[in-house]
Amino acid sequence: MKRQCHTTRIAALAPWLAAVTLVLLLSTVGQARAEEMVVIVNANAPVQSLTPKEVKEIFLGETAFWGDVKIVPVGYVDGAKVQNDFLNRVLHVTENVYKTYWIKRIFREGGTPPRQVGTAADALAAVARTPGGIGFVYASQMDGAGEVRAVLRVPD
Amino acid sequence: MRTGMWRAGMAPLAWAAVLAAALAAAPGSARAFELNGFGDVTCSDTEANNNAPSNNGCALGQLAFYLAEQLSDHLDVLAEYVIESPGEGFVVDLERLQIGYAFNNNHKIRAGRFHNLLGYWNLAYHHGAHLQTTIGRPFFLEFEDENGVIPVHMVGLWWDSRFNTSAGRVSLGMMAGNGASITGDPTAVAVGTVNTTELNPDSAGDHDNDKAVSARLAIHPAAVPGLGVGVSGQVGKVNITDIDINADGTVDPPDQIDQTLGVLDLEYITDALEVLAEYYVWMNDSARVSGYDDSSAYYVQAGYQFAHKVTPYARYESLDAKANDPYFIAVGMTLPGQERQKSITTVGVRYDIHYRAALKFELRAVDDDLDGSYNEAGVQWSFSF
Repeated sequence: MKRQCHTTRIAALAPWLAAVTLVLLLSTVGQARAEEMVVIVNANAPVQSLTPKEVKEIFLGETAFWGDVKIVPVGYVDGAKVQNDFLNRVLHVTENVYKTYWIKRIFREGGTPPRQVGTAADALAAVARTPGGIGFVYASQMDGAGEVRAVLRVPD
Repeated sequence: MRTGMWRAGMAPLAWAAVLAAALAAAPGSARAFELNGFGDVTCSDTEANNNAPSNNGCALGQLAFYLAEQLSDHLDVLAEYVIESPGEGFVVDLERLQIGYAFNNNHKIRAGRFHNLLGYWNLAYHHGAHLQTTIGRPFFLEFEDENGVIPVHMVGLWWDSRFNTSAGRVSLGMMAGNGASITGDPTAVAVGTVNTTELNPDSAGDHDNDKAVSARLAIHPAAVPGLGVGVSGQVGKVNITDIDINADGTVDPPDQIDQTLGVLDLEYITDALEVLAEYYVWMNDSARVSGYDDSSAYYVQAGYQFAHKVTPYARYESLDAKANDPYFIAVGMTLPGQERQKSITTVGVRYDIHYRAALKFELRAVDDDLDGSYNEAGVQWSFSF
């Protein structure tokens, strides 16, 4: 009798357990899937599109001008998820490797690393107000973007 | 590196300058810039050799501060100070001060005081002990005031061109500036007990009006990512002033040496593997001394990083200063009539605690015609900020 009651209680909980498991699985899938990223430039920048290699050279300081326009790359503060995603997917480096690269580069030949902002809204605003501005956001963060244009889409 | 007017006694004034720079970077400043730097603490234990007793102890390495600022779209400046101890107290040196104008992505010109572009190591690491895998530089690449035999600094103009081609990235740099001179204590050179001579890059002005030109061509082939090959050299006259190297009557001292320095460098650097090699040859031509061969030096270094943390490494470095080479006599590396061969074999492990701090452990075996054979051990904690 006691065993039967126990079995009945487990059976009653089964739908709830299944629902919780399903929610957990779905949330895991959502986290694993990367979001599409967009590389943006100032609306007046003299470029229509960029290749991943060209974007990489800009964020490594190797390309500093579009004609007469000084390029001003905009990145994010240390640890930002969007920054890490960008470095992994476009530059193929970790954040520490990227920061070490800039330490070496500035020491060897001067120059300045990308500006750092805190949020996607800050990045959009910085690129919009800087003639040679270039930055990156998730595609979902482009809503309401002002004077910027997408020049490269980095798929999921 | 301490030379002439660039040296200042370590004083509150120096600290004030550093503090002022730091304050300028503080929030609220009208013009903010970043103050970056390198430093290290190194402990070592050296066996006795022919010319020195055993020694052990710890020392502060060079504390380097550098500032980089974009003044306008095309103009930028870089300044670097180093605080170091020459034995007693501390001194502050203005190591680099350069203003640059970038014409476009391919061409840039700079004026000021630079790291000489000879070879790879000198531009890549210089005072940044934390940047280099090992504790120290190859001994023949030491700074001018630390028995160095390479003019590692230059004051003048620097033209830099870079091109991306389908075959890879090509860079060409050229520097023109004050020629070096050698100054020091003639008695010490003749006796050969203590090297008090110094290669002087004439930073405060070219008192002999002889200029030096150095150039480097480097190629990074697209087919082999991480590989770099460079050819560089310098031509100039090295004036020997205030030194009577003929004090023992064996060698007539040249007043001036026509020097051609050739360098070949090779680097292969990937995420984990680092292989570096450089070969230097000095062709020193004196009108008053003859019958000597070209002196040369080289090093080969390799390291492999595991798990982004642990890097075992090894290096072999060697210098062959030929007998009666007037340049090496004048810089105090050899004595008249004697050839000097010196080599150091190094093995070590670097542990990166953080990308801004590392511990290095090294063992070195030194084999030197002048000092004899002896061993050294060293530990260094290097950092950047």
